[in-house]
Amino acid sequence: MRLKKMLNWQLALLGMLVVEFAIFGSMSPYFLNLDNLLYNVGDFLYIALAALPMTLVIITGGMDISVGATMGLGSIVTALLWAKGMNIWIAAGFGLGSGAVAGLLNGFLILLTGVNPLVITLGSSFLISGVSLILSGLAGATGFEGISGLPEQFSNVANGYTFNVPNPVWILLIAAVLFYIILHRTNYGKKLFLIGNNPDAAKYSGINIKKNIIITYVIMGIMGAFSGIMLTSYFTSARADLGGTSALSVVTCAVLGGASIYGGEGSILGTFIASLFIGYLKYGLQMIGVTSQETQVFLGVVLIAAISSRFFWAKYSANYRNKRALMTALNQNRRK
Amino acid sequence: MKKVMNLFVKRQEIFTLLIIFVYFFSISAVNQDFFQIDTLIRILFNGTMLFVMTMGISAVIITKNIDVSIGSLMGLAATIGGTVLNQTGNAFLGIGAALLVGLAGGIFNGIGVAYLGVTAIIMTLGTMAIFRGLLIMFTGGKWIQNVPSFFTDFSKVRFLGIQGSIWIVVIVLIVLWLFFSKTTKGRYFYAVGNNNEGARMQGINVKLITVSAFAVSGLMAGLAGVLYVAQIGAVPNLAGNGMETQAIAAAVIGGVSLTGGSGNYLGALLGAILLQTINYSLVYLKVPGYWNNAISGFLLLAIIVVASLIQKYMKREREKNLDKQIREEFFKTQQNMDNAYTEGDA
Repeated sequence: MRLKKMLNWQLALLGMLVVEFAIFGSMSPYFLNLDNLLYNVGDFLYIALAALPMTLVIITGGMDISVGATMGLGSIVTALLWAKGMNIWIAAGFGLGSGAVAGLLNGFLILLTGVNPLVITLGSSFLISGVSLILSGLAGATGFEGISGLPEQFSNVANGYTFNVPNPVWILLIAAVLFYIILHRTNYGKKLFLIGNNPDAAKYSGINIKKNIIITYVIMGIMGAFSGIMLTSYFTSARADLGGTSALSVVTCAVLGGASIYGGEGSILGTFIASLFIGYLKYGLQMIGVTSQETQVFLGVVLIAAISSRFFWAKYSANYRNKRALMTALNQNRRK
Repeated sequence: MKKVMNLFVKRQEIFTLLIIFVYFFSISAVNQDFFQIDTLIRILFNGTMLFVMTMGISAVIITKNIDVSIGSLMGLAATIGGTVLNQTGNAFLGIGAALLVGLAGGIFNGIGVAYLGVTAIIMTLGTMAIFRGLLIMFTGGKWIQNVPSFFTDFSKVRFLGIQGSIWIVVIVLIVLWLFFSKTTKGRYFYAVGNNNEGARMQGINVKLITVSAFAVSGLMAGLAGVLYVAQIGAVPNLAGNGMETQAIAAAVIGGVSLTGGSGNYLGALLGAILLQTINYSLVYLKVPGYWNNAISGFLLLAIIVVASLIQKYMKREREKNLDKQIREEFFKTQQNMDNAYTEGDA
């Protein structure tokens, strides 16, 4: 039953994506150019990458507003260590590690206090972005200046091509498949659904809730830092506030993709399609000459309209099913 | 000792007040200049926007919702109010416009949550982007400047040694506090936050209450916008950015529970004052500017952790006491029954 509902929503999303392509394609002849479309993935790669683990977090009934701050942290740690003479790849490893620490902090505090994850991660986003600012301040520059001049091999990661396809496309596909397997094909993923659906039932069926939640937030932190590092590679410079305002878009992608804010519902495929939808929406609006502020307004409206339509759809389809069941029952009675 | 601890749990505002005092004195120990009545008044004066918004968002949090759009809404209200003020030169029109924008934005949020079935966090994340985008479209990226000086002077007029805008906060506190704790309609908000379904079955119009809660929050954001124009005299495009975070944190510190149905206005205001004191004290601690975020983030988390741990501990103690009471009652009744039984025998 749930599977059918989820599939329905994913089909609807796919339909929305097709309609979007048709509309923008008819408005601008340059939109439906495959090279452009593939190249454009780099622009929203960081949001799509962070939306995948965000789906996991939301499925457990959690939320991570600090993802934008984590991106800045991963970015600045990587560039700072490189500037101090470390090999860039090892530095990137430490960048991922800093994200893991941030995630660990979030998970630990949420479990320790039992306070709503939204509030904890709001607080920690201050702390994390503050630490990034301190780090970039320690690098010698004033707080908001960036570190640039990163090596070419590193900037090639997000700007280069493999088999004539831009690297971001490959990175996104690999990450999506990986998270699909993690969420839908492992025991860990199934546990996440149960924890989100009914924590008490999960506890009594012997699931170590604390361990699984900590792991989820650590994955979130690592992927947040990874998004930040990809962004650094894409811009070939690092800044403490890189990706700072992306939390809204990331959560939007996950929720539009079918993740329920109350936990227990969500899918990687949905999030993936929603990321494409949002990413290309921004690109298309830009293409037809809409300013970025108007795009922002439009995105907000789309988010609200999409979630609202889902609500009404669920309500009316339930009404319809109830009515049909009632009619069948009445008919059977009449036959008797 | 236990009685004192109990008092803290029942009245988190007392606990918050204590933290404010401890914090104030410990900063004063580091820097003597901090220890002045003037400092306290300056903290209050600079924090009026946060105070008003914290009290507004408390209405939403009490009904178990959340509103992250108030920062953007405040910016939008300040922008439109400021523009009207600049063009007409009439203070009342400017204030009215700002309040109206706030109220309309709040009602829009409320309708989305109550009637369109969008979760509060998603609805307000969406309107956060919408309000900010509208603001920039409205101004075209320019700041609102050259606000008439009679308007900016008004906020600094002192009555009994305290500025006008602080008095506005006091009035708002009294009105909201009276409404939310002393009237039946006010208690409905708590009922909705405590048990939505239960409140509905009691005949409370839950949807209307939800819309009203968001309307209060929006109206307060509008008022904060007015204060912003009056105190700062210019409105940048990013005005109010991040204020929602601070307001939510302040309300939570002040004992307004995110699980809905509890908390009061005095507590919320004290939480905001504590947060404002922390922000303001960093100047006196002479730390470099780029440390600010990290320190206030750290203190925020520390306070949330300590407060929640104390609450958890006290709740456990209270339950233990309750268990003991129940057990004693049980034994007493059983003893009485035994006595009655033996008496009957005899």
